[in-house]
Amino acid sequence: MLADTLVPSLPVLLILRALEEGPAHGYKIARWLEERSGHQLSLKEGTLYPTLHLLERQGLIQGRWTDNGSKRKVKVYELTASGRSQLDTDRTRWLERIAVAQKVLWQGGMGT
Amino acid sequence: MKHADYLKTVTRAIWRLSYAKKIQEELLAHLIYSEEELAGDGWTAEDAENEAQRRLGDPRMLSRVWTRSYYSGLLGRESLAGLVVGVLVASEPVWMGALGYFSADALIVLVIGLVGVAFYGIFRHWRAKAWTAGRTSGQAFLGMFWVTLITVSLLVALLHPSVPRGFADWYGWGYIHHALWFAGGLTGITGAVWLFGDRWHFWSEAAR
Repeated sequence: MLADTLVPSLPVLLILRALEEGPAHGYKIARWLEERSGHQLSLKEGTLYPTLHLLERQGLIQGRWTDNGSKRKVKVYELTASGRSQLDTDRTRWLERIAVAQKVLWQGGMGT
Repeated sequence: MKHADYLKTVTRAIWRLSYAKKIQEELLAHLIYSEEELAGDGWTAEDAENEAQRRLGDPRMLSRVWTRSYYSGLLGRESLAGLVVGVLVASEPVWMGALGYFSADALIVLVIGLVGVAFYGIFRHWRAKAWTAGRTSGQAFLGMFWVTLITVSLLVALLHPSVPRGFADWYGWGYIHHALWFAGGLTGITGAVWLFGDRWHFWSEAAR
């Protein structure tokens, strides 16, 4: 397996995790992540939306337009069953791969 | 820049108006949320508007991101078209044979030129968007075309080391002349379309 495919895409994982908290629009997802990570992590706002559309086309999330109690229309996304299952799988894979990477990064030299 | 102009630039390469409108609406909601938050922090209305756009990103860069996101299928088809045309050109002496390669080259270039003019010229509604998407898809097409042309030419030379009967022009300068004539014509047409699209004032200099 190639090293750069070992870890699931972090932005995708974070978006799915944000939506696990409940339905949200793009702006809310971006703010949630910033707040939850103590402003240590942020999603590039401009590329967040193409990623959301991609995930929607893949059936991992579902978007619906709402008025949100005002005249402004907002697109709110929520996890689908398939997205929830993907999140569970990727979250486990992420932890496993990170543990392996840590081992490689922090253990002793090559030896002879 | 006003939000409307910013969003038009972001979605300028999205051909389907319904998609473009939905994307604009979604991004507008984001910009307004961002603006409200900044205004709450004491920013002036104008500064908040500019900062909200700056945080969302350079509209030209975003336009390319959306193009790649929405036209991955189109780019795949363009690459496939490049592959097919590359194979056709490289193997043309086989299928055209005694009819002569110059007439066949001229015919193919003419057909591709007419299709291009019809696509970019007649559908006026799509013109401005076509230049942006056309550049990306054109690159995919030409890239695959050249790779295929060179690869198939090498394979033809390897698999048929002797001149088959009736195809005396297949090898030597005749073949090279034919391939360069066609590939040069095709690249020239595509290049001219890009150049024309870049210089034509479908949108303002600042927005290009």
